[in-house]
Amino acid sequence: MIKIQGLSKRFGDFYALRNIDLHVKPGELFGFLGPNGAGKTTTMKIMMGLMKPTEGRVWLGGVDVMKNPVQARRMAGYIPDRPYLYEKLSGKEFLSFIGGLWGVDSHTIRKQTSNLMEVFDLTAWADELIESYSHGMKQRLTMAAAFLHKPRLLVVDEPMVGLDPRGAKLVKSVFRSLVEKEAGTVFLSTHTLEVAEQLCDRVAVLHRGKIVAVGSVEELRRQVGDQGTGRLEELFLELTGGADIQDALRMFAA
Amino acid sequence: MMADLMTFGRLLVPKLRIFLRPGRSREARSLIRFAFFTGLGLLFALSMYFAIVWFLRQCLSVELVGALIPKKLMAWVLLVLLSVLLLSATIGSFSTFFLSRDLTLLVSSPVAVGPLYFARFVEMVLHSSWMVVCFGLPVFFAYGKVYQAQASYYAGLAGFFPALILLPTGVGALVASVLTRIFSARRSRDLLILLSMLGFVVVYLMVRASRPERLLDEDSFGSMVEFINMFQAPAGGILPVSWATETLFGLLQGKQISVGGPLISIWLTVGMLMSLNGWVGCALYRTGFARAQEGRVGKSAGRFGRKSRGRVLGSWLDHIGRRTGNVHMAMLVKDLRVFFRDPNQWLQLLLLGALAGVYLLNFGYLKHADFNWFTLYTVNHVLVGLVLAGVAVRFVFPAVSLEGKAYWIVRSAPLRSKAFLHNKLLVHFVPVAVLGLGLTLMTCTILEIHKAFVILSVGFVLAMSLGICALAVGIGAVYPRFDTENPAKIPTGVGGVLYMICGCLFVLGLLLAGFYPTWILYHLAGQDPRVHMQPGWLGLSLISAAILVVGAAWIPMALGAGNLEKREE
Repeated sequence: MIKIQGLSKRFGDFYALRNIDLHVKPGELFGFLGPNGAGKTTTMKIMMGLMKPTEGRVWLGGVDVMKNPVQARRMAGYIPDRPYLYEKLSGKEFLSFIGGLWGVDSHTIRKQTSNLMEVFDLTAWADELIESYSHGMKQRLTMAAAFLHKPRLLVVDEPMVGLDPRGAKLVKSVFRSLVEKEAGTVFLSTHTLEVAEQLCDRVAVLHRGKIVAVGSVEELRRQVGDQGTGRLEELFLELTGGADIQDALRMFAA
Repeated sequence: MMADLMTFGRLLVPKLRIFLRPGRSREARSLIRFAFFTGLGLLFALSMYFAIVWFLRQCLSVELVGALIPKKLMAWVLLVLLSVLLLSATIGSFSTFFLSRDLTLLVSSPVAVGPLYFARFVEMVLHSSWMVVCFGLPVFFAYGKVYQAQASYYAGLAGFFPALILLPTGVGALVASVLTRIFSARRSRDLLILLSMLGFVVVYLMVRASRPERLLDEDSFGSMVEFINMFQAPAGGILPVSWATETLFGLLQGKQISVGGPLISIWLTVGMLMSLNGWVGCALYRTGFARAQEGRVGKSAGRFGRKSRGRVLGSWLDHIGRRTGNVHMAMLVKDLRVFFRDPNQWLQLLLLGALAGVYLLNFGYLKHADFNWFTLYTVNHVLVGLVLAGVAVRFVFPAVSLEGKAYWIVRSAPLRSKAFLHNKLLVHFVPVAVLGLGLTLMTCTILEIHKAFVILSVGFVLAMSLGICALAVGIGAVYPRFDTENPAKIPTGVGGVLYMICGCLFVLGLLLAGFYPTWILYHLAGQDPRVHMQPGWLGLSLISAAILVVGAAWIPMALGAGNLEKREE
């Protein structure tokens, strides 16, 4: 479903991504892990055509994103980490607008809007202007919008930011449901390792613009030589150089 | 006290650093931008200086009454500058004192209210007054030049001018503090913008209806005594404007007058006002800030939230909205909803209405002047074009930038930038063309022009509207400002200025290119035997006009689309 080949992105002299190769199969829930500034958001933005790569190519469902961005975006839904929306629209109007952008017919828009508002617990707020929504509500509305046109692929950047435990549980269920019941593909980046551990079929760990490990959590454990049942957090720190945390703590205590 | 002063200084340092040290990657661009705006500002200030010098010399050359006008003019200039400053300071105070994003950090820190309040006050004064200083001072320098003033005049100016800036800004900060205590900061600001726009429209229409051009015609007055009396009427003896005018004008004429008294009075007033700010403003500040936070999201708790139903055009747009499934219709409905729900945007329609009213009023007067109808007909095209360019810089140029931070939605949708811009063009072309056609058809009716010329005018206006809108949308996409919170600020950047230059050149170029058919029609209609139509000239005229329109419509749109495609979010 997603094929990334030799992807690099340079900002001036700084390489945000270096020669990344990745392959995500259809029907897979794929986690993209990495510390802050590793290049996760940059990769996702390139996948959605919001940024241009310095080198390399990306295919979504076999469509070259750089050559046919419109066709590639048609099959995908994108949920960014910060939900900037049109504050002067109501939630319902926003979903109707999104449906129009994706060319969804008006009957389906009405039906989907009602369903998604219910699923994402926004029905009571459907006619309120978005400016009065909390951060978590905006995040849930962004997710509802991404589902409106029934995408085959969902690209999600930090889905749990700003969500309360109820919202987080709901979102996890919705993502799993998309993969299991509708054979969709979800590509999500997260800092919440627990989420990756519980949800993802496979994960990739990105560090300083390079992929340092790919596979299921079990496979990653084997890669770093961990025979036990250590948590993903320890694996993550081992892969991304967490030893300096002890030094930082010592400095903080001093 | 010393600690408060140190905190006050520390609070201003980051602002100073931001001003002096632009981002590294944008340094070269910022320098070009700085040079461009400084050059443009200097040009404007110099033009104003020379225009005032010329005007004052013209006034002084008129016997008897001429010498009375400059003093009255000085009082009016001061009054206008101070009124503008009062308004700008009050509106600016809401943003600087209560709505600025960095305030959350500062208010939650252990910083005393006094230093924070006065640091914000300094910031607000600088923001609100720089334009008044830049464009007000050339007027006073022009007076100095014409009257060959001595150093005492400039010293007096240096003494009075800062006080005249601090007075309205001090009042503005106080008004904002009190209003925020009663309403929320955001609501108060919107209310004030509405009232000031309404006030401006009313005053503008009243001034225009009183026909100030009659002042230049002494026959308009019953007698010379009436005329002189009007100019000698006092401007309000206890107002600081009056103290400043009397003193500065006395110094200008080299009179031996007491400067100390008025200067002490004005600075004492400033001192009292600052004390009042320290006393009332500081006391109300924390409560006002807390209320502003509530206002930021409205009374958002569930049932009190701001309903979108029952609003202007709501049901009509709901009806159209139900027929979505079409990208262009979805964009149109969204743009209309956002426009009519943001008072900062739709309130500008009031100004537009006033502008159209005054325009038609003026044409009514011109009809009775000694002008050939063909001259008025041609001038009408130029003026309508310039009015449309002015309207477009306010309403069409910001169209792309108004997507704001939500632009990622359009960008990640299956929609090419070209299609997005075409949609913006279509949405804005219709109202701009309707306005242009309305103005033209009404002026044609006032001037009682033949149908053939009316049809020609319609063609001109449609072509002009298309070019003007495409230039505005295209250049707006080349210079988008997605981060700007205030829509009124969008056209004030390099892109806005560049658009105005291109828009005006396009209007003049199109009228020049298409002048021949109008001219020949005028002579043929008058059956002038000396004039014959030259098919070569006609062809050249039509082709050049067509090239101009197609070029103005295509080039900026292509550049804008290219820029949006290249843009990295």
